[in-house]
Amino acid sequence: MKYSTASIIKRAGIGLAAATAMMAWSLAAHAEDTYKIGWASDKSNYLSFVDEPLAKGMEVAIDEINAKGGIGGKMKIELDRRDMKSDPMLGATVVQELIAAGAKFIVTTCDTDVSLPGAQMAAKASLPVMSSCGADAAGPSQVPDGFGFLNVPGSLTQGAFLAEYAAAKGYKKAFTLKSKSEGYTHTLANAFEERFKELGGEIVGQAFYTLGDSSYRVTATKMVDSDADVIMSNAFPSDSTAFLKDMERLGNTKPLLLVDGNDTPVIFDAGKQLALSVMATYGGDRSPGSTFSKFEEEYRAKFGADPDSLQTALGYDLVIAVAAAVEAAGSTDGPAVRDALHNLDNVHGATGLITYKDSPIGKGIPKKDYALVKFDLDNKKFITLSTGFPEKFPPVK
Amino acid sequence: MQLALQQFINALSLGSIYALVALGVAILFSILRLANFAHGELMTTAGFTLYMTLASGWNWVLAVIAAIAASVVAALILERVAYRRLRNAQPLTLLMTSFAVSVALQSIFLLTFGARPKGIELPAFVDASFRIGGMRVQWLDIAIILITAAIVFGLTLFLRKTVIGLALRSAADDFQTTRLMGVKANALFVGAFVLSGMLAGIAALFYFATVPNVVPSSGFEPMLKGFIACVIGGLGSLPAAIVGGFLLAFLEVGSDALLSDNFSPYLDAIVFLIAIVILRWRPGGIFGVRLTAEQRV
Amino acid sequence: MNMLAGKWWKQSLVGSALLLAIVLVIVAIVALAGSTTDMRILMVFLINVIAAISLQTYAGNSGNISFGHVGFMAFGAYGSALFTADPAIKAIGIPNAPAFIREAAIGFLPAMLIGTAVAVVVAAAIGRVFVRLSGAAAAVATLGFMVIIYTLLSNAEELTRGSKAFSGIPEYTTLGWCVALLALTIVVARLLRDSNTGLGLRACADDPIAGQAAGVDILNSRYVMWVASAAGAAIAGALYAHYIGAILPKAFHFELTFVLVTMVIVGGRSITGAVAGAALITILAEVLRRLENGFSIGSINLSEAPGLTTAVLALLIVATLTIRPQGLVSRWEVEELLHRWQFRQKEHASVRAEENHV
Repeated sequence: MKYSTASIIKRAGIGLAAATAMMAWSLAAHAEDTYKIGWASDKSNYLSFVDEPLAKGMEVAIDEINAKGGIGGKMKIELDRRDMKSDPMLGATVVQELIAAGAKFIVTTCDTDVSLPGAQMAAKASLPVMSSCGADAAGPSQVPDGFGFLNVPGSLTQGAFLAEYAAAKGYKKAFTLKSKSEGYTHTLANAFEERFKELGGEIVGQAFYTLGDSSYRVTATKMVDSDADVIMSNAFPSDSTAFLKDMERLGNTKPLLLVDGNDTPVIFDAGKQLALSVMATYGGDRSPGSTFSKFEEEYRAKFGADPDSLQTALGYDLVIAVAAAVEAAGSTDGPAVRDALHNLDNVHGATGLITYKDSPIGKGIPKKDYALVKFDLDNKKFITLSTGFPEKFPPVK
Repeated sequence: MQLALQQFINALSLGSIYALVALGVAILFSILRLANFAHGELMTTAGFTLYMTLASGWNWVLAVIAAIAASVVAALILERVAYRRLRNAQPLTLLMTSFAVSVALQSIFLLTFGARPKGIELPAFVDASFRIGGMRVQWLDIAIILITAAIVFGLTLFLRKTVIGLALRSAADDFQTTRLMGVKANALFVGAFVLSGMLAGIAALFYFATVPNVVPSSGFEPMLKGFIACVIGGLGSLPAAIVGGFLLAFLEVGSDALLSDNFSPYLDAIVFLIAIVILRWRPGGIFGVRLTAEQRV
Repeated sequence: MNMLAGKWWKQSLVGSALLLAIVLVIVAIVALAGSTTDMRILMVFLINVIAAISLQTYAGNSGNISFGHVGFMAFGAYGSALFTADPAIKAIGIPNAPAFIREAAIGFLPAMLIGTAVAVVVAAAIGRVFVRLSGAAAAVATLGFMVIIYTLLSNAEELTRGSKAFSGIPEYTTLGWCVALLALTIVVARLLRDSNTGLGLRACADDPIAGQAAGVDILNSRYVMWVASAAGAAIAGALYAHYIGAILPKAFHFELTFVLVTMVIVGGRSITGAVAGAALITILAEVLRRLENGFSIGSINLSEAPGLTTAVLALLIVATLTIRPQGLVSRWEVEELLHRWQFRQKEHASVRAEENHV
């Protein structure tokens, strides 16, 4: 059998056309029964230490939902996670790539400022977008048309929550530690200061650090020497462990208030000062039978180990909220899912009830209870003292 | 007064660490004209070695030896793989190569150990302290200051009294002539890198004794401080590096302790500004040549 | 050869045109055959090329590196962004900023000029300090300048929202703007390089004593390059801001600094080198990133190995520098490379001819 050159090209052409058609068909079929969440995540830079555990929690939720046949029993969830190296420009590029790859919901990395260009890109394509655990309450309002969401109640409410706790404990004079390197590391402390002063407290000192600092000796010396009766630190590991170590070495005996970024086993490297510390975080109800304990079981079954940080539970909640919104919307259409998410009310997540509806904090920011925990140094466990939400908090600026 | 004394000890202890890092940087620079940005990663290597050995239950003495050895071995590998071929390259190319090596090593640490901070389980005596009056003094600080002094003394003896030391010193003055005297160039390179690696290892011990975690990027900050110390002291001179280290520490602690809270967020900028002002006044560093090579004519 | 005889600036213009033509070919290929993502990568590449050429104008001529030029990019970015962003957004974001900034809504070109002017004024004011330094001292001092700018921006909450993102910047940066400003940057950079100032400065970088003996004022020449390169960096910064739409101080920090410096050092010491270096780094980084996103060897999925691509990229840079310490194109510009190639061809031909004759 002989082929002329022309016929080979023709046949190849027909073959190619057929292959393209089949690919298009399979893609279409694929698209119909899966809901793709695209995540422009940090895998290799400084935010990867929070995005890694979040990814595991998201996988647990996706497995749980897909085992039941998917969203509404018929639509499987698929996660497409790509590295954006905490670079805002690359973040926007990756979001564009994910949209082209068929993502219907966009997740960005754990910093509302770094991920803003990507979020705006998603909004331009009329897709809802949520920061994995970024906490700036001003974040969603910067994303056009209400497409922007947070996964946590934001730094303002947390700061106020800690201030109300401090006031209730009868503390009068506070010394704060914060950093201008990020929004998170000073807006939370500022909210604390504002609410603390409102409640009759006094800020006797402020110290600043730069993200990645290793020596807190000067700050610790000042704090120990001051007449403050409580220390509030906005730092997270490894800055916070270094800070607490220096406080220990200078013989600090003042109580310390820590923030949710420390809800990771790494904090136990800080040692003895944790006995003086309490921390604000989420997921108050960790009792047997709670959603949190159910999540823990599933996590253990999947990864063969305990969840190593609360970020896993936040990842789980993100998927649960998105799935609930898609089911409520009855559609994968971006604006429909956005509207449904804005109306989400009392959905059971691992870190408590998630409510986006009529949020008192700001549009797109969920109301969730905070938990106050202390540290069990021997077993390296967090023990919940109380849960709640601040009565009042500073407005979004 | 007591507060001032406490801050003085803080500065002395911090300065010792900076001085050790600066010494390690200065040795490579004075002999090979190599500004080694990867010096920080030698420290991180020692840090991860400490983490692994202590976590698997090694005696701390063995862990300390292993950490210093690891950083020396890493230095030798760097010399062989990355720098030996670049002996005659422009200083700028060397600088950028060392930077790329530093990034590569950080990524390899990330691949191997992940991004989460790893806790180093230090023996309890590291945190021990005693009181003088109302002041708390750490044994660790005393140890850091004394050991640094001993190392500086030992290094001076080594460089002055031994043949290898003599060869290294003369290479710093005139590399080509030293070779003509029959000293093997490779031996000089290896010698300089071993010394630099050792100093990085020891500095890492002190650094990770004060900071309880190690992350892939741990070495960056101390490396940068070591460089600033070298430059304000005067690059290419070992005593200048030591003085630069202490000067930087006193600058940092001093501005942090004395300035009001309003200035506290600008601390990094203030320290760099003072460093730049020093360089404006003496472009070769405080103990460096009065003018740069181009202007000496 | 005849073509280039006569005035020195003719060769600069011919060289600029050649270099721009090569870039335009790349642009045309991507525009015709690339995806939307490819187009974004191309735009970022063009912005980086402008920044790299500007940096090269200082570094390549003086033989001095600067880690501070992203500071000038930040001036261009924030300067331009502040005067163009929607006043309604500024009223919420920076309510305490001076009214002339808060209420401003001017066009792209005047805003870019404001940003550039600010960078030039700052560069001129502080330049004398930096041009006196060389080697590692220059590296540390310029790094210090970058950190100072970063710290000031992070604290300027009233004016720029500090460390938080400043958004609402109109997306003016188009392919046309990028290409036009790239053309301008290339021409100015080539003219500066080939001028007496540039030539003298390059001579001094090779041999300071001979250069100064021949009457080159090394400090003044460096100062001219420093100020000019700051202007170019500011233009790149403005393009960056108006492309990404939201900026924060962290975008103008160590990471971008090292990307640009690597591009310049890997490329070589000419303007062509800056373009070649930027192209090589962009292509390597992008290929590796795509491999990571959709590629697996057997059971090993590359996306499960974070940091691998960065490590490979860094090692490739080390390899490039070890194999070619002088950079991809060394000190040559594109037309010089062409001539060297032609000359070698002729030489080969004549050798062959002689062999045949014998």
